[in-house]
Amino acid sequence: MLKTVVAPVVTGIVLAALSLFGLVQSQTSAPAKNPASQAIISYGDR
Amino acid sequence: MPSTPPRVVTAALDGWVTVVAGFLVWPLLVRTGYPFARDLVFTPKLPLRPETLGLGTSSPRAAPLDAIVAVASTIVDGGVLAKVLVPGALLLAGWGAHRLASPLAWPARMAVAGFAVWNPFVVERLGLGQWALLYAYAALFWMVPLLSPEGGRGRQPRRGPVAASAPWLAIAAITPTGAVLAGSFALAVGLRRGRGQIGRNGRLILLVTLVQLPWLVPAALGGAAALSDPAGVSAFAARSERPGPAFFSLAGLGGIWDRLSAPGTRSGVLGFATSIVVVVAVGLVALRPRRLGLPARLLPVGIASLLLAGLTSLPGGAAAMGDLTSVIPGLGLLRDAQKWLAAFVVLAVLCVGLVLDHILPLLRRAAPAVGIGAAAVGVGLPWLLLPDGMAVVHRVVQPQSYPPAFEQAARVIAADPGPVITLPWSLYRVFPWAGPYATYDPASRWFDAPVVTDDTLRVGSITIGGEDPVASRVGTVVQSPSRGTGAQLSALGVRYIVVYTGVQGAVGMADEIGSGPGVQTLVAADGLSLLQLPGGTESAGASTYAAPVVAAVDLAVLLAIIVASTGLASGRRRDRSVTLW
Repeated sequence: MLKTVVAPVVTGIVLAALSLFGLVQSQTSAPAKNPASQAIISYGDR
Repeated sequence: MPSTPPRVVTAALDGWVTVVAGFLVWPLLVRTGYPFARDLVFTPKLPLRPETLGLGTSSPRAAPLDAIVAVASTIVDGGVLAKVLVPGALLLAGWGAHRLASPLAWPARMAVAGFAVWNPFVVERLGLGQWALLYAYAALFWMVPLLSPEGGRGRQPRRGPVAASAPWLAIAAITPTGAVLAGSFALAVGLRRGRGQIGRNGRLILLVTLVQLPWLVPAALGGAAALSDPAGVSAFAARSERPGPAFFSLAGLGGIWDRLSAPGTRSGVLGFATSIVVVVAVGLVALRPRRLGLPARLLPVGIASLLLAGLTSLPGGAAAMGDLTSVIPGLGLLRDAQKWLAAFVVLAVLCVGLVLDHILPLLRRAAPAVGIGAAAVGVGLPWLLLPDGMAVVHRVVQPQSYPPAFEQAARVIAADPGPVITLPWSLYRVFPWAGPYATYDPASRWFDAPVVTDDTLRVGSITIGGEDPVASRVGTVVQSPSRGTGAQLSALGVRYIVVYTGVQGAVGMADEIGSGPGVQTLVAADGLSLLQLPGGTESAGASTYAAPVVAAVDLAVLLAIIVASTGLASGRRRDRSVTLW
């Protein structure tokens, strides 16, 4: 029971949670500074 | 159940790498046009000129890469070339990585293959548009089994390991940084102790020296200043992407100097998680490197590369390196510190695979389902740790269409070549017809004439002085463009002015300069104006003999690499037991 049902379910939940967390964070976190607002002559920014 | 033949596993893993790399650069593959963002600038045809050989008045930072692209683009359109060259680096990295991990079980090899392609180092470099450096990174994976004292565990090349490493050194050496990076790596991993190894060591040193020539010779013969602004050292030092020292970001395989090239997740919990995963994996393998099968020298070389990458982020490090940059010629080529992390990335990728390979059977024995889940996590690790890698890369590799005015201007200049300058005076601009990212001036890649551009770089509040003496003189003249600017530039030998009328800061500039005496407007469309000045025949920079010399050196190096790697020089090809290198 533990190996056939619980372990796969727990593994699946952990995997799904990690994936969702990563995806949501990547899609919702805005860059600290709008790239379009940078000075036109700037190569980059630290 | 019969085991899968090794060739099938290798082919499947090659396919896996292709899929991963394909996703990472998807827009480049499926859309027409030319990638045009940040440092990634392709044009239909890069003119083969002394400047593309590295002989301009600026430092040869793209020698011999530009010459290779110029020759290739005489046969294949630059847009098609980009679709081959950019993903090519990723494929070589992934294919080399899983071959390096060939003694491991396939789930670990799959994780290694995916992680080699999809990691913060690769993503951040592509985010800045610096695809060519990734060829050096890819070459490291192939050189480890050839040059390590263990000799790798696979079949040894018939022609000898040093000879077999020659093409990889050459591939890495398409940029000066790549040449130095791969050359130092090859020496660190490949030199052997003992009197019997003198010949082998000599050949390796010769080979490493040889691949430096395509950038060293133009650097010596070109017209650029040999010393660089020390301000560049602190501007391009590795950056801390999240709270904590820059070393911790570097340990997570990120830490590029440019904030805009780093995915958003690097500053959050996933950035921390990546650093922890890498540190734990490297730490565990370091406890028993031989037992786990790590090539012995890869550990110290990888750690040394991590230390080198973080050196200028230490208190006083940037100042010390800046002092050296201002007295040692050519050191400015090496100022982008995070590039030196490549060997550590190779170590980290392999260590993650070794740890997985060790723990997966243990977990499977304890609970099969947990083992399968852990394998899935291992294989999916690159995406779990860096889910937004694709977004950063896609916006840079996305092809754009040049306005037709570029083609018109190129035809006019080709008919009557002469020195060109571009305005507004800046090397990077945001073009209204391309993405919202500061992008390298495409003029030198379009026009078959000497193109002088501003080579002063601005990184945030830091200004890094250029190395081009001609650009310095022109820059003084164009500070405040007026009716008299054309005459002043003409006196400096300039024949054409390209004004990017659509970019910020260019309003009225073309009309103002164009109204000057003797100035003709030849093209005015699509956000580009081409003005012709009277005179302008002077060609500043390298002497006339330099281009044939550099071309001859490049061809000689290419020939030597071919001879070395195929064993043609020995005249004993039939005796396959002889190690030539």
